[in-house]
Amino acid sequence: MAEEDNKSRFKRQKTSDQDRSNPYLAHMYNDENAGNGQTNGHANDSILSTFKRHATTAAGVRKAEDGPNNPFNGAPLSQRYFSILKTRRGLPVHAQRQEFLDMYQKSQILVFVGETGSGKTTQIPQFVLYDDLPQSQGKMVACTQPRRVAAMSVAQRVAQELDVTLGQEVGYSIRFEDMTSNKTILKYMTDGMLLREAMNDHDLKRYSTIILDEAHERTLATDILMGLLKEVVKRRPDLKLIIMSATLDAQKFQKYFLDAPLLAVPGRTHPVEIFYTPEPERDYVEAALRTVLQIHATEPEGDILLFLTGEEEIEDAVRKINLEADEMAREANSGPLKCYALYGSLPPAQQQKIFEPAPAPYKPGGRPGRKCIVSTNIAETSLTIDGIVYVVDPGFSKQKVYNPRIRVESLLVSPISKASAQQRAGRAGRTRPGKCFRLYTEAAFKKELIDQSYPEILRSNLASTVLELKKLGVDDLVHFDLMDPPAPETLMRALEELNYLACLDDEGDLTALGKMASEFPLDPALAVMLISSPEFYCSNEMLSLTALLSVPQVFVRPAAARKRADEMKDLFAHEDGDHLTMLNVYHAFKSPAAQENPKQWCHDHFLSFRALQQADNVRMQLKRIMEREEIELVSTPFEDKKYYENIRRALVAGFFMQVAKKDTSGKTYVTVKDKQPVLLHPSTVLGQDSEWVAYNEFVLTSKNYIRTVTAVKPEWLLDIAPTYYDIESFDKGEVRTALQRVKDRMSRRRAQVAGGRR
Amino acid sequence: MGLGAPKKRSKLSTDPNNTAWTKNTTNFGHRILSSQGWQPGQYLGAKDAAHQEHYTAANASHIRVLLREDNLGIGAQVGGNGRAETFGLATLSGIFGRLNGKTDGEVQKQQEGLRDAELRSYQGMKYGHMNFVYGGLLVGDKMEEGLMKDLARASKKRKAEEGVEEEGQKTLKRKKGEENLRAEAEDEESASSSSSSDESERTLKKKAKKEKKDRKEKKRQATTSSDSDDETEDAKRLRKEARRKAKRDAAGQDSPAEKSKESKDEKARRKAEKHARKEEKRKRKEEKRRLKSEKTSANSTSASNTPVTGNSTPLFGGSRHAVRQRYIQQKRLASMDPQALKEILMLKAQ
Repeated sequence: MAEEDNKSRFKRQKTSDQDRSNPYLAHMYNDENAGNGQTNGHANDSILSTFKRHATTAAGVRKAEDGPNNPFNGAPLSQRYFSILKTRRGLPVHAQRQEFLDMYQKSQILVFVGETGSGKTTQIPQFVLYDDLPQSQGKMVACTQPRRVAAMSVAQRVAQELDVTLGQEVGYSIRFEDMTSNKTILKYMTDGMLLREAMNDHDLKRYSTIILDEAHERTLATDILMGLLKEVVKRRPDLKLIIMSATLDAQKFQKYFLDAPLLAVPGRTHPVEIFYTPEPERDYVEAALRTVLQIHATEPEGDILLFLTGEEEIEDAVRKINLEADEMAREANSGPLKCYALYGSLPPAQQQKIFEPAPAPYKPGGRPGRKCIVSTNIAETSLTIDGIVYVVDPGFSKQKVYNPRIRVESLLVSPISKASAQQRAGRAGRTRPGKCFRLYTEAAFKKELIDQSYPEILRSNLASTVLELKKLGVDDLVHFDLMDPPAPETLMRALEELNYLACLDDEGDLTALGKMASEFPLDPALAVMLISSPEFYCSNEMLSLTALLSVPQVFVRPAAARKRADEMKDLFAHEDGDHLTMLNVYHAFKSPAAQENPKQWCHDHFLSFRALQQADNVRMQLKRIMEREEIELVSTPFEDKKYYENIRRALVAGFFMQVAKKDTSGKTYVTVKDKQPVLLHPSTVLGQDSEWVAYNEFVLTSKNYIRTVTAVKPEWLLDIAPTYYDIESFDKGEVRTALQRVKDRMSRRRAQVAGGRR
Repeated sequence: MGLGAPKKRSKLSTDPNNTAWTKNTTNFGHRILSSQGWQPGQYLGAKDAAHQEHYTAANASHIRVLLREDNLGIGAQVGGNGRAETFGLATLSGIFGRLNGKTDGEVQKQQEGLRDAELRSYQGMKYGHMNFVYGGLLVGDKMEEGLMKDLARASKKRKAEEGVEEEGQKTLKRKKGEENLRAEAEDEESASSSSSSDESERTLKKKAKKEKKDRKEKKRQATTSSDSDDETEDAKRLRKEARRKAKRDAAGQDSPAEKSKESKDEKARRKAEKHARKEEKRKRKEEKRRLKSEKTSANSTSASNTPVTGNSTPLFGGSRHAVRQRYIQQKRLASMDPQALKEILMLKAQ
């Protein structure tokens, strides 16, 4: 063991008494409690006690599943259990259960490929449960999901399938919500959550098997977990690892995991006919609308799924399609067509609408109705809608990209990958044979689309990831074995940013501040801003502001009432900038007058109730972390002249790297170090002509905008972030001269003060 | 961009790629990476990783994405292939063709194709298209209802055609031969079919299975009918019987082998029939589709498959921007004029 430790690049954390209070480490001390013993006691009565760990057979398990008592908790099995069991056994994965068990028992790492509809997410963890018998070891089986909703809903389903109460033998754990108990033997969790646990327990000792589900989505957390677990399995021969993917790039996974065996289970899908356009389209949105209408007019019954890129585009398309469909019904006697939008920021109630059945024909015997769902790529993998027969795919989606050179992370419309296109097409064949209409040529499909979508790790700012890795004990970032190592420049930028934020010292080691910042599920700049806010006597306010900055836009500006919306926004406007305006909004929202009927109040003031509610929630969670980290919560009295100034200064403590200075021309701004010309976003309320502004976001279009800006003073920059604003590090130019002038002025004033005192 | 294009002004910084930072090897990040054994030009990640062959350019440098200001589809270009024609260069394509070493015959064909496409689009613009109602299919002496559709086959054929199109010349032959049947893909956007081969294969296979089933059914029917000669006779069976008899006469005996052979013949015939029917249906479908797209053509994508190699047809009514201009004007008028509103909604009065 010790030898292995030396080999590993991971630093081991000593567990101390202090860890006892750490919720992530609770399991280490559980053995002293009755908890696990009790679980074992249960197991001993059941048929499972006759099972030999890692030597079970499908036939044996089948008997155990047939009851009459629940093998896991001894209770008699319900009627529902047996009816579910019957359908479960019809799932494609069940046909290969023995094969799975053989492979699982033989090797430590297994790559499992199952197309959507194969039942892998719900069944495989149960297969594992019956063979791994984690309760006998006092351990658990973990199954990660990229999305919180999936973790919750799958856990719920599996609890039903095993006929146990959710939160007992089967539970879930997502950020801010832990639905597990000491009886839990199967835990669904977000990949981010498992990563957080790994930060405090590098060996993930409480798990006997870890299943990484939906690995093909390649989220940041999954990628890091894979790198991490690859090391952990070397240290812990008793830990088993299953990588589950829905796509066929499994060879890559196999190669990465040292030629782990691969098991593939076919999904239950129907054939889908693919159609391409003969020529490229001049306007993919218009072509998409026409295709939808044409399908409605000419194709037999079946629902339509159209993929577009963003909220605005989708809402627009939905409106147009509904309009045209009504016209078509009036003039050409077509069936009814109901069109729904689907995107991430849609309120859940409206998201539910997409599951409504297609409308009935206008009159009995008339042409059948149909529904059309216009969606972002969330319908590509994460959401399954039954009844879709036609898919219209213009070939675009909004994707995050990060440019480390100008330090801009933005969502841009770009072509999807071949794998994505196939996924989209596959959505047409869920219930019966379907058709997919691609609004590009076959040649374009072959030539212009990349094979696989880029994993998130190649598309993001890695500052918080580097912080996490450091916390995970990975010091050699260069040779950390990632499936897709990021671009060196991206890593460089991340390190540089963390160094300026004082999260890493000059040797690249984690500082105390960095350790604390990694506790916050925030961008490091925001975390640092929050941590240093007590110095400026405004941690309460910064807490609210941080929460507001981490939720979607709070201001609503419907196309039909732009003027009214702007007037309402002016009510909250603070002349020094958008951050302060947002804070005003939040304070007004929390006032008793608004809380009487917050929904109505938000509606009246053109604010997003959902976003504000979410901000409220995030604020509460962050507050909890701050209390745990013993960060003081203080405020400057509102009457104090310095109330807003303090907030602006605290803002600089986090955002000093996102500052722009006005050009000599007086029209445009220029970002200080990277020297990119930018404009203030038209939405800003910034009234005065401020020479220096701190911004929250750099929006990439043909004109580059900075959004959510607040005026700052150059003196603060030099004061609060002296290393970043080290004048020597600036190239000759406007910014340098201006800073030099400010510095001279400051030293003069200081001399005057000193002289006066004397 | 043509002269009429809207002006776009954007200010580029002196160093939009921030090469000053890229070249700087003294910054903190660079220092840390170097100290951990990284050298410029190397990938990050484990040494000699087994999966290294899967690395792409994105692992070496950040992902570059083209900023998109319009809704141009994948593969389409601003100004695009049609631009030359917009400026009347199409008339010179013959000369260019010859200069490019094409034979006179090829050039001739090319120009004919161009001319045909123009004619078609003119006719479409000017008079619209006649609508016909589907009235069933006449096969032999009876009407066939409930045709099975066979998109897979159609699409396969189509794909082949498209492949040919790329070569440019053979298409013309096809164009000439089937001209009237296939004003088709002219202007047709979306749904034209060209399924990926495996997909179509799958459907084909499925269809084959279905056919087999049909055949089995029929065969069974046939046997029963031959067993019980003196049952009531409908025309169909009579005909079958007659044919069988003729065959029996020829063979002299009614052996099972014979029967199977006979059924095979019939199979082939049926297949051919079906094929013809499908062909017909497909054509009709295409016609319908074309009509439909014609109807909604205000700001048409005007993606036409003129047989010119790698070129698309002239956009009617001038450049893309002219169309756009007209569209905007119509939009302005919309609030006053219900007719204009209709046009904007891309519906022509029926």
